[in-house]
Amino acid sequence: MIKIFERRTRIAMNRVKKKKSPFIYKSYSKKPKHKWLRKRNAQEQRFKRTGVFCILIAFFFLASLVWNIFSNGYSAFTEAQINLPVEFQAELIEDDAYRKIIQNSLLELFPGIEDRKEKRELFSLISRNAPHILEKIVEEDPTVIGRKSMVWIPASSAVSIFYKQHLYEQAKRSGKISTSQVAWVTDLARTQNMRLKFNATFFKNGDSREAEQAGVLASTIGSFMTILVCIAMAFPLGVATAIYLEEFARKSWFTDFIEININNLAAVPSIIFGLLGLSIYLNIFGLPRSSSLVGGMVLALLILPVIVIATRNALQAVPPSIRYAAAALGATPTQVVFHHTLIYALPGIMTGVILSIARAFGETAPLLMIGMVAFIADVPKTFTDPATTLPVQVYLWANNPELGFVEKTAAAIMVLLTFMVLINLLAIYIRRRFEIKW
Amino acid sequence: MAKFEKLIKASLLACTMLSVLVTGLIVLSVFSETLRFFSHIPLSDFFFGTEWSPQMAMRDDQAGSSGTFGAVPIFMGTFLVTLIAMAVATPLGLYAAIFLSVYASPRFKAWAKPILEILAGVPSVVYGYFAVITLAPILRAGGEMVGLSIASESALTAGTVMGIMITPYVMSLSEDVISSVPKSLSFGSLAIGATQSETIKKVILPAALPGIVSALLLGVSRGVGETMVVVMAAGLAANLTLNPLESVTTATVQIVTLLVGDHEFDSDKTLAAFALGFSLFFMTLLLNIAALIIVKRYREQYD
Amino acid sequence: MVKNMNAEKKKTENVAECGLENIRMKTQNLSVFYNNDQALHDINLDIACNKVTALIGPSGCGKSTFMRCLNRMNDYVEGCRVTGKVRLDGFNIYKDNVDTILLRQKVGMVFQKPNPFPKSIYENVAYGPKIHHLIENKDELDALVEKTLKRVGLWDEVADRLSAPGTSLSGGQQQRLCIARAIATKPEVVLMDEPCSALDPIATARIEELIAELEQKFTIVIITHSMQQAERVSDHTAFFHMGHIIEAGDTQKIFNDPEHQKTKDYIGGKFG
Repeated sequence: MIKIFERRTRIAMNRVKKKKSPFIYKSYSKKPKHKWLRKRNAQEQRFKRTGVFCILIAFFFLASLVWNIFSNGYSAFTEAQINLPVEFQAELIEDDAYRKIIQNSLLELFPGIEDRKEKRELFSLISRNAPHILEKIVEEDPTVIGRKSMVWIPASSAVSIFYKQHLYEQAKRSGKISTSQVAWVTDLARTQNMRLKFNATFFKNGDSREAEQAGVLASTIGSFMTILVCIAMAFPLGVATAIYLEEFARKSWFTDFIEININNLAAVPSIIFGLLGLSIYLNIFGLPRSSSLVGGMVLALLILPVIVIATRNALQAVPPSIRYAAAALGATPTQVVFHHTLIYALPGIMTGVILSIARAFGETAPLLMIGMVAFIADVPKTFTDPATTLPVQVYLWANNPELGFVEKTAAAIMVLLTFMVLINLLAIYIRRRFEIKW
Repeated sequence: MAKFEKLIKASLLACTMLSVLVTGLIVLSVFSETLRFFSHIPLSDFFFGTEWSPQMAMRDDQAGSSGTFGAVPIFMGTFLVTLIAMAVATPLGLYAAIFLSVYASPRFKAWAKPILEILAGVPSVVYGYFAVITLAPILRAGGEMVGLSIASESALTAGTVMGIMITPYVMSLSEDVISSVPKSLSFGSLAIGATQSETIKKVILPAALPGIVSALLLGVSRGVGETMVVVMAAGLAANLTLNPLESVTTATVQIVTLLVGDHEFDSDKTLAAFALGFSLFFMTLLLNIAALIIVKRYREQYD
Repeated sequence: MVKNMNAEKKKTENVAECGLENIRMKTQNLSVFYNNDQALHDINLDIACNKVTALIGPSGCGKSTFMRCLNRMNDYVEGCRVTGKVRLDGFNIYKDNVDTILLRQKVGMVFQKPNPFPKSIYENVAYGPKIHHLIENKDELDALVEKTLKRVGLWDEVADRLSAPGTSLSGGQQQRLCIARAIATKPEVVLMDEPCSALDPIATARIEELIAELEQKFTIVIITHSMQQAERVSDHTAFFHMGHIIEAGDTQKIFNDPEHQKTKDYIGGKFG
């Protein structure tokens, strides 16, 4: 054993010695060539395998990201509902005491509950929005007054999550759901008085303090309004700049300066644009805080350099011979551009613009700076109304510690990513369908 | 007709000037606020001070309303998170790029590259959510298994997720660079019996090195300026540490915390955010210019 | 593999049937397909040892494809499929267990456009011997680089600036550097794909001289579009047309007394 050890050390020492030798190539022995060959081939295999490994890791990240969001979020598209025997008592409806009606029917379902604490637990089985739902039913069909009928009422967020099972342990641990509530829900489920329905609320409501009432409508509309402003400002400005630089400007230190400027602008952190919006738009121009108008204007500055670069690339792809041909027919420089170059470059320009819009669509940080993080429950009606956007909504919900918002966040991300995919598909379609190959 | 031509040209020029104005506005607005900040707080305090606690300045009439604005812990935190991110993104992105451009069949590359670029297109707020919901618990559990206590908002979590986010960016950029090395060079090496990996290491990478360096610089610049991931996954407290398991804060996190919500605009607190923003702008500007210069030289070599 | 090769070498030393005294490479029913298009049809050609074989023919006739088969550079062409056999010293290089690294050490290649690595002149020549572990120390490497550069006639021109980048040389010098790079690995066969097409007449003359000198030590296969050049430098010539060999044999015979009308037309400049 010791001998082996000694030999090994000696070999190791020899190696060190060889490395120190002044002849760098001394370490190459005169072994038969094919031994080297084997070593080199092994090295090659190792290298290649590392490459495969890295690609696989990258794919793994993508897959785990998608899976993670899907597994957390898919359940938000359904909601649990409880079948309640509701008695529409005329005197209670007159008093607007819909809450009382709900409470009565719950007590009817589970009679014999006297304890105050237990009562409160029982009432919190049902969404806090339940009175509004009853109110609506009465408004739509006043004949129900005085009658008794079975109504499906959405359960509260905690109950809903418990019923959907996938966060059972977490729900219990975080104390969102009590033992007696568990017993009631199990009972309801057994008698088939509970069901899962498509959660339309999620697409019909704005933000809410109650997880089961929170939806993405307001933020989606806000996103689209913001993007609309953004396009209206960035598209003409960006394309015009690119046309000038590519087709009209003579090369000088000034155009060089503009080029460097725009290239750098494309890589400025987005949050800086937020600072710009805050100090210029809000403090100097006094535009309304939190509005989609300011949000869109900030995002426009953000994507402006991207649009300029994409447009210039598209214009450059049009061969000069086309321009010469047009000019040779007697077209003026502007005619050459607006009748030929720009038209042929349009598919490329559109692709670039759409991709930059995708970027603006997912942007969050600069919008935080101009106050678009406010709690917005209502759909914005004008461009100056306080608004929020989808990614900001995701951020807000992700910060909400309440359990029900975890799935809402993931679901909102799914909606956001769906829009991103659609935008990207549109860009791909335009490129495939209209692009001119030279 | 000539009048019309001139009109069009003039309006195009006007648009160009307006676009250029944006940079001017950024510099002007952010810089003027920064100057105001430094008229209250000495430069040396900001750049060399090691304590950051702007929370003190709630109201002007409050005692000790000035707060302390030593930005060293913040720059250190930014540096640490970016370093971790690059430690993830550099090997992954580079090897993936090498594999795609050299080994992968064109068909594989044709669908693998766009798919991986999806990762680059995912909004950063999604990565933030991923960090908080998935990676932080996993890392903490993993740390506990080997007897390490990892803060839930550790630099490691934020840096790793940021690294995942930058990876496709680095990959895409360096793949372009590697692919632009003339094929004849690698054929020259392959034709005298070098293996692919020898060709890559001794011919392609040395030739593509400037481009790769600039790709990495752009990656760093993205990491430094990235906001949402760190706002969600990194901490708020300004700890002066290089331990990746502890919670650190970054410049972008501080800007967001200082400016979100209603504040009096003139307080030192909000002005400090602009000072941080300006440092950030300056840093990324230097990185980008360096990357641009390197790439330009590299292009000249092969044109 | 080395052992295998030697064994096969002994086996196939009987070369009488080929009609040439000493055959280095030999293709048998070689066909090449790019996806579904056939680029070469059943090529049978012998390449004589230490002679220059010229491949001529109009553009797109398959000369380059054929040449890339000889050291399996076709492996890097997407969708390329090879059937038939290519024998180097009797050993089929398209067998699965063939190591392309060793093969390419033995069959070097010079490209149409000079493509020196963006490294020093010295490193360009030293690269091959280093990766193949052909040398033992720095002195040996120095000697080898000097010898190789002398052989291509570049030594006198670059001896004082070995560390200058290879790309700083003139076109003709670059091409000679590439030839030096190819022969530094001590190959048996050197393939040259139109090595002079990017050069001026004087540089071309220099390369032609060099080929004549190298012929003593190496088997050379050269593609050329210049009939005069083929006639000047080669011992044997093969005329390719539409993926077929129309005629192959002694250069003098092909140029003075071609058997096929097509060969006559091509050499006479009627098409191409």
